Amino acid sequence: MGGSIMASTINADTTNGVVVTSDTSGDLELQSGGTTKAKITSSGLQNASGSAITSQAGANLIINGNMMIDQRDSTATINGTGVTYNVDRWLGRGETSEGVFTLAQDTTSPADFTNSLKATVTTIDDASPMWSTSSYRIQQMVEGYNIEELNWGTSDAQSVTLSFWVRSSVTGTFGGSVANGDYNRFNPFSYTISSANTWEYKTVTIAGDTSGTWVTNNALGLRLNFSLGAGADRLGTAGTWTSSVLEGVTGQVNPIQTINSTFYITGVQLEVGTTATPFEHLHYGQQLALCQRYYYKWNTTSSNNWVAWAMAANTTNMYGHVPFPTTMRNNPSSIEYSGLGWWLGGAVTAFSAVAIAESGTDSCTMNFTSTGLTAQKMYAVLPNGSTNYIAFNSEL
Amino acid sequence: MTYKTITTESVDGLTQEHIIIDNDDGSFTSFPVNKTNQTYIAWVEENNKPKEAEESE
Repeated sequence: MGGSIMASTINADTTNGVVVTSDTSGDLELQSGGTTKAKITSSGLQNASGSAITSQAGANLIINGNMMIDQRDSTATINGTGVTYNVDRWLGRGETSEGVFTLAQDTTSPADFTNSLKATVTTIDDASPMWSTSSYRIQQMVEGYNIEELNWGTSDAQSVTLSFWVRSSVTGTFGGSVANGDYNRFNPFSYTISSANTWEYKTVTIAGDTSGTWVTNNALGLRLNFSLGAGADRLGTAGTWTSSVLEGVTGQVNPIQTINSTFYITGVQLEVGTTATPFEHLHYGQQLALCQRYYYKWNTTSSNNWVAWAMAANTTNMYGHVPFPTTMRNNPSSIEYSGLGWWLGGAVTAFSAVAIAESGTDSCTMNFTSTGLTAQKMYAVLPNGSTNYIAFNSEL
Repeated sequence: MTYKTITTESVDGLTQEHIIIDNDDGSFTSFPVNKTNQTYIAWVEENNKPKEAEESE
């Protein structure tokens, strides 16, 4: 015997128990106490707002939103001379700027987190009003591959919801924006910090952009800006897409104009839909691998931990192969190194230069320059100082 | 910060110039002289230009 119950709403009622009602909508709603919690429609499983419920894994478009990975392990000074990365995937920018702020990983954090990204203003921008094109911001640049599901730039553009924890010594209305890689599509957002030096949780929903170019390859797809101060030309109305360069909202506070002001942020999540879900805590190793797609730093304090074997081509140059732990976004555009040398018994000799001879996404062949080498001999490349590392940069 | 230009030669004999920047903290930054390299492009935009290579193969 088989049978069926025509049900469009199943409500776990607090008075009557399970109540089933029916209609011909073709949808099934699951309710608790008369409030819809989930739906099954012709489009699949949805939440109460109508957004698709999918696997949680990979829901966050932001990498290292909890500021846990910090391969550079340093304090960055942002003084208007371009892009400076700090905690993995996060950078600071200053433009047309007199003010200076620092960025560093910090252990001040809300419950469920152990780290935050801390900005501290060390030199104020005292222009009044601030120069119209001045801008100070914390930013993450998202790879195009990771935003394909947004369908931005098409009529199927999906809304996204940004959620984060923030704390500042300055209170008031703060601003930020979402922008495309070409930096000609912008949507500012605002949020309010009510209490000084207190962690507050914020959510912002941003409508998808049906216009503009949003790349979906390994180039720069989307930028997320948190403004620490901006001039009038960089500020606009929250919630409106425009082609004007906007990095904050009109009337926002500018922490860059308060000496020693602080701004902490963590738990940053950007996800498809109109509802903020709990922060996606990845395993440390998973998150490190995601970060190493953009920046990989090999470092050690042990002189017995070698970087590579290298073969001398002549008396001044040797070549060695350095593999990466994960495929990088693109061939590394630069390296940074410290304290490396070669050894063939006896003392370690420092290199006078290290450069990429052949660049790839899975490994690089390195050129090490020194003197006194013998062609066709193999040498160990190893640490030669108190700070020893080589880092490969494939950031956006 | 000071910098120098060096030349490397690949296994197949192709030469490539590189900029080596002394970051004044014991570390160095290195990148090829290549007009499609974003690090080189950003460096040139800051009004820098390669010097004559100090070392060559």
